[in-house]
Amino acid sequence: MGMTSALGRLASRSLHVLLVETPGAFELRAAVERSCRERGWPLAVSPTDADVVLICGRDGDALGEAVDAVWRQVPGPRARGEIRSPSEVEATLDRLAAVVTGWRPEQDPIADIGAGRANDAGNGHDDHHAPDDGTDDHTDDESDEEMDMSGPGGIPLASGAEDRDGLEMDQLHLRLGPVLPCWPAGLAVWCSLQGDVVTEIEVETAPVGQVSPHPSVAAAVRLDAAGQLLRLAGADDLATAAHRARDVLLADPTGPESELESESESANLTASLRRRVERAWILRWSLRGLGVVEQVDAADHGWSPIWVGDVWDRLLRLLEPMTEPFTPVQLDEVAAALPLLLPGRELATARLVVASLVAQQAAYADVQALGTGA
Amino acid sequence: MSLAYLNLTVLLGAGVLAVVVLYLGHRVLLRESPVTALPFLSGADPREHALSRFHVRWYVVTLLFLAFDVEMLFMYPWALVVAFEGVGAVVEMFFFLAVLMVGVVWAWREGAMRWA
Amino acid sequence: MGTGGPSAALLAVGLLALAAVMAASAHGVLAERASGGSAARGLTRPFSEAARLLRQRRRATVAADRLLWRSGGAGLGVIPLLMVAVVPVGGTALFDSAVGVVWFNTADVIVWALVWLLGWGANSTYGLVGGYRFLAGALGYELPLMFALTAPAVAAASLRVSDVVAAQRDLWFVVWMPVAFVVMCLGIAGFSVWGPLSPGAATDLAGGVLAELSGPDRLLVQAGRYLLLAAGSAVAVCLFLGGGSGPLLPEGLWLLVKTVVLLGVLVVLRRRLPLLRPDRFLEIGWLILLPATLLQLLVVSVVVVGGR
Repeated sequence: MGMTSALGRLASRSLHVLLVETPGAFELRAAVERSCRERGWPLAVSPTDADVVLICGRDGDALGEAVDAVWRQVPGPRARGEIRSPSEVEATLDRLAAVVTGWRPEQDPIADIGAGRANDAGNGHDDHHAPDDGTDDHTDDESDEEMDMSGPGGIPLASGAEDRDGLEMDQLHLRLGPVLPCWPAGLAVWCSLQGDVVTEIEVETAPVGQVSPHPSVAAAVRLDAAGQLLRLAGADDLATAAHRARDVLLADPTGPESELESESESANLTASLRRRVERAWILRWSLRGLGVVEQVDAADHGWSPIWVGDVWDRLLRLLEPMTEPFTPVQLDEVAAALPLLLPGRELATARLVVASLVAQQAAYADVQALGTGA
Repeated sequence: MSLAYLNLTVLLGAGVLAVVVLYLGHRVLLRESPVTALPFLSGADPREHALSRFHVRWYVVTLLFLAFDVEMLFMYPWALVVAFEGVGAVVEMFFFLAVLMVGVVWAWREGAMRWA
Repeated sequence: MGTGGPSAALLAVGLLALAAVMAASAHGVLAERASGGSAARGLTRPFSEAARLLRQRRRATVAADRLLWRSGGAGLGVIPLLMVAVVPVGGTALFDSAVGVVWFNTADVIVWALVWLLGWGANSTYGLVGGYRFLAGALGYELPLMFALTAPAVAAASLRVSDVVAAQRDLWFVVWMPVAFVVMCLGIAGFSVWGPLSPGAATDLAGGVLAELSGPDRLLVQAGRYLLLAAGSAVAVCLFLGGGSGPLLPEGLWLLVKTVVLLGVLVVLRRRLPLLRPDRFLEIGWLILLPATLLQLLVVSVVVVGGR
């Protein structure tokens, strides 16, 4: 089939890559992102958007299960791979591209869960409560168990819960992470949603005990976080600029001089990026006042004082030059703060808040000068 | 007039044909029917169906919108005659619009346009 | 009234598709430039993307509302063609309705339903949130857009688009209706679910209304978004930029050139703007854009009455 292979070759010019970062594999993900950018391959935001699923680092059991589940949702043409060291990046991407280009549907059957699910539904009991049954007096756990396998496809229908005004409203559950772009590696959080507002947070897994990165990597970690935050805010060009500055820092140094060079080049890039961000008044307007952490709250909860302010403050802080050795806020500290910070927020805001909390410096010299985001 | 409707039919037909050709062409290319999968939840199984009563927190704004939308019914005929009717038509219409705007400001002060 | 016949209608479809591809290519070039890639790669981006979606499997989600879901996608591909029906060339359009402006307005409101169906039909939380998020944004841009559309109609004392073009023989409406023009451009981005007004299809929702779409289903929606952008631009050119009027070149060519230039400006602006989050945009739409557009309309009606 000439037509099929011609399409395949054309398509391989812009393969979409869904990256899964395991805890501690930051440099690997950055290396892959850089290579993808240079190849003109966009980063996928969902399994349907992906041709390639690439795991950066060693995946544990829980993450492996999540990746398997996501892999079943990738329609194909598709290829899946793992990267353990930066030297493998180019070869692995080439190999995966070849798999996608030569992919034939009959060689990669995908499990159609439709039939199996429908049978399950038949065996389940049919006397479940309709969602419009206004007097749902079960606790959540009970109704979950009882309603299991009861709805179409073996999935229960949404059940209600009281909203902040005491009205009974349908509630949906959304897991954020671990397979999710622009989200901290290894973190998995269940959100209860009513409409688009997060009502409750349940942290499933949060990695602990990250080591402080090497100084040059530390600066890159901050730029990376800024880039992810900008990407979530829809400022794509600024996000790309942040990640390019990050990649200059991470570029393989061939000698001490070039390391210095790349550091100063990156410092210039970061400074110019910071100026561009400061001038982006619409961005400022859309991030101001989001996820405000008051100084007293931070003190009360034992949070890092670096979080004081709003998302905008924290974004600018990520783009400041580093003045002292970098000790990042640990991800389990972030996870512990989420149940207090996210409920009551709209989903987009919640994502921005999470992105703004990570990669902040745990100890900050001049906390008093930070202001409170007024 | 009949030519106008023929044109519309051709436009509509071209669009529908393009959609059909796209799907048929894809079917011929892949020789497969669509598969069924679970929705994306970062690798988790869904705890419930997403189709549900969505808690719309901006519903007050929809009511405001409805008020203005009904107003648009007057706006279109008004647009045609304002040049001939003169100052009176302008004053009446903008007085009406000002009354509606008062409603908007009231709703804004009530916090109807912010949620979460 | 209407002119042209089937061949002209097919030509219009072809030109609309051409303009949409040019906009997508321009967007590809700018994106590549931001990431330091080659312009050529950006230019061919729409084709490589189309190729990968053409060979991608179709899939559905469990218990999806398939009929409504697919109608949403197909509708987005068809609606822009109905929009260009009222775009006049040589004094008359394919469908030169006496209420052409209202026709366009109707078409852009149908998009509300289509985008919401895309989000609803997938039976996915991301899609659902994206669909409703789009509606919240639409509440912010739609009323200013409606009033912006009436400004040229008031000035021309007609809702027929060809009359509006004829009324701009001496002076383009954009010169004394700049606010209405800007609001219309924002509205175009809005009903195209595009750029700063695409939080319903944003990264933080894993693509929102697009989250569960693959293969030709996704291609249809993506193409529909750019077709809507192109059709909206063509209508904006007729309402504010003098339509096909211009020296030397034939009218149809001027119309195409102006549409492509406006598309280019929209694409460049899109790269510079972040998402306008709907919970904040509602206030902008109702408290700034709406009063500003009404003032614009007041100015236009006073000028029209005064110049009688």
